Amino acid sequence: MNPILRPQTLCFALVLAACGQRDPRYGLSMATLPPVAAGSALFYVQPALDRAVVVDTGTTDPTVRSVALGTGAALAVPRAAHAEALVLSRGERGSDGVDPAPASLAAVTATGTARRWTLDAPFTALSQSDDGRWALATFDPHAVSERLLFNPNELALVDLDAAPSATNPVVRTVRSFGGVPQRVVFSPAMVVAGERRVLAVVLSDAYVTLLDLAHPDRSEVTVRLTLPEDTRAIAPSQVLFDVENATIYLRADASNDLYVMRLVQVTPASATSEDFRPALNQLAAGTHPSDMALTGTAAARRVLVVSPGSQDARLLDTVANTSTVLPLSAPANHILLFGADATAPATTALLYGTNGVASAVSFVALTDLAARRSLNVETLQLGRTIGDALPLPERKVVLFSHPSGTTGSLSLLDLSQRTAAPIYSEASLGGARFDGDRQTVWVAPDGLQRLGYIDLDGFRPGEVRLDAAATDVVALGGAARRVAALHAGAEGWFTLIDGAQPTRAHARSVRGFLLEGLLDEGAQ
Amino acid sequence: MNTFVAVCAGVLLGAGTAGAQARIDAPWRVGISLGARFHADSSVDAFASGRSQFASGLSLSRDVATFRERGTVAVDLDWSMETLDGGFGQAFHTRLSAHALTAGLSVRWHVARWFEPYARASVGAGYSDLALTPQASSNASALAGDAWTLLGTAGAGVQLTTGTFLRRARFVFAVEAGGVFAMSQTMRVAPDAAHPGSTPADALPVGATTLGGLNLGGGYFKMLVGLRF
Repeated sequence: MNPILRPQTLCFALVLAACGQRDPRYGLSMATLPPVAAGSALFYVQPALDRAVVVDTGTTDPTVRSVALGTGAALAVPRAAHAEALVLSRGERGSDGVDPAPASLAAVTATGTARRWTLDAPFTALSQSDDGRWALATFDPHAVSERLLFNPNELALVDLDAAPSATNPVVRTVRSFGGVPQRVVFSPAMVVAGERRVLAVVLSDAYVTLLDLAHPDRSEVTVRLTLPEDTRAIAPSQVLFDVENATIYLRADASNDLYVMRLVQVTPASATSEDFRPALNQLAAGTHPSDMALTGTAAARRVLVVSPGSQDARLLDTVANTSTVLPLSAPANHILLFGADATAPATTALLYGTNGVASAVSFVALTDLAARRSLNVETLQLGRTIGDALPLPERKVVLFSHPSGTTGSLSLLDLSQRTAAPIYSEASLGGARFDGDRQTVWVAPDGLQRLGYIDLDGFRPGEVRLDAAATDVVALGGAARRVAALHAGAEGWFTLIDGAQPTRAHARSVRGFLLEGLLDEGAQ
Repeated sequence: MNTFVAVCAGVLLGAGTAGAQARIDAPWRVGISLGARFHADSSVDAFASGRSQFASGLSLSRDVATFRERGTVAVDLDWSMETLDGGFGQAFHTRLSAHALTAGLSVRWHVARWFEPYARASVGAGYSDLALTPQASSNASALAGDAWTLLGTAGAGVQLTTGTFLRRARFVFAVEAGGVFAMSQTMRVAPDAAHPGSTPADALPVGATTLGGLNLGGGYFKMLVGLRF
């Protein structure tokens, strides 16, 4: 028989002739952004599907909800101090057959609701105030723009506690001296010029911009950190706020100076001008200062700086412009202040160096430091260089990891006893997480079907066997102490572990939630 | 399933007795069918690149009565299946096998000895099982699930019959088209323990995932080649 006339061939021809159109939604990628944990829920954002899948683990059986988002989700982060996720969507620039869509910011709750603010530009970075009220959308200078033209100094300030309106968000372009915003830091509420307000400090290459969130209609205040003829990009990187004295301390990665900005009241030049201006002071802080911390009371504020380049620490009195140099036996690039308990004022500083620069740490007693100098410094040898550190001052513990060939080992530094307990580990500290009440530290070694943990009460380590390798571990909030070990898998998969009873018998697998309602989606 | 088959077999055996009383020439017909299914519901899109799929099946029927000299009533038992291979989400290979077992009643009209238009209706059960296999290489097992549903069909066609050979045997060829009316199947999937290299034997408890409603209703077209005797 002629092959063309075979019954099966004829059937296929009829099939092709009668083909219906497949719903294009099923061809879209199910890939997710890195999952976000907020409260008792996990948020999986699927950019191609313009949705977030929310898995609330606060119930006996996890509840799965799907929430519609704006087009082109690019970033998902937990909202500070809230059980919500913030999702920044870049919108759609439009193409043949595809309508343009605006960029947006959405706050998604664990109960599956979302509030959305439309943004004027496809921002790629998001900063938040500590209380989670304010969000500032900016352009990440390292991200791909995907737009023909864009202004990297444009930003949008969103009041997350207020509904979208003509004045929320506030969109503006900050003054530039050729640089672009690199990072944004929010101040705590502090009294400036007699008024309590929150400032957003935008860090650019060689200057900072102060935005007054209490008066977003006012002009921003821009502070150059270098002389106009100086073309260096000093890269401001750390900001501390002295709330009582309305002062901002600034450290830059490529500068040996510390910048102190005291915010003083002035008479505004116009209705849109600010009623304060920064009085700038510049102090020498050793070679390559890498961390700083505020000490003392409001009346006698000092700033402690560590400078690994000069292997010292300095106590700076920014009012008297004096400095006390403390030579260190071991170079340090981090400072951790701690007191007798979590609520007591800090009385001691731990100075330590990560990334292999030191194998010892220094304890510095802050009391009468300017007079006693090196007498207040005690060095503790760990015997191995420090790779990374997880400080936990409220539990008086710092967990150090030590590079050791392909595997690593850990040290638990007891800040009270000033002892270091070694813990042998097959895994590095990378990706280690504390659980909600910071009682246990969890490690999900890459490629291993096990989750390690250390109970910080007794420094007891343990492990839980999993059904698949974990890609990350996240702490979940809510009534119970739980963590979720995340697994790869387009269907959505994590293992829920009881932090109070970290055994396999008290673990359960939650899998397939990204497929929930899959067959009903085509009709949407 | 076994109950359903037993009921259908009973119908056919009962029909065989009735047919013998009616003295119908060559009352039995067996055949295989090839054809296409046209799905109306978008839920099928998750498992195939198009709404139309190749289908095949087996049929056994028995003439049970005649009326007005030219009319014949027949009962039948029909099994058909289709397999949908596809994928979705750029993440899963999918395989959906859908079976339908129906008991039908048809009425043929003898326009000529060799040419008989007919109408047919049937009711029965549908069974679907599916497997979702991750495309990415991982140690994750496939997800699998199955579900039953009730369905019915209504259609019309023509049957062509050859001359007799081997005393009373005849070849038969039929073409039929119609509609399938199915209740939605709620598909739930869970890790497939039978998948090689999958989850350990003592895997942690995991609940099933509800994919939603799968509806295999739509249209059909089939060609049947068989033997009457």
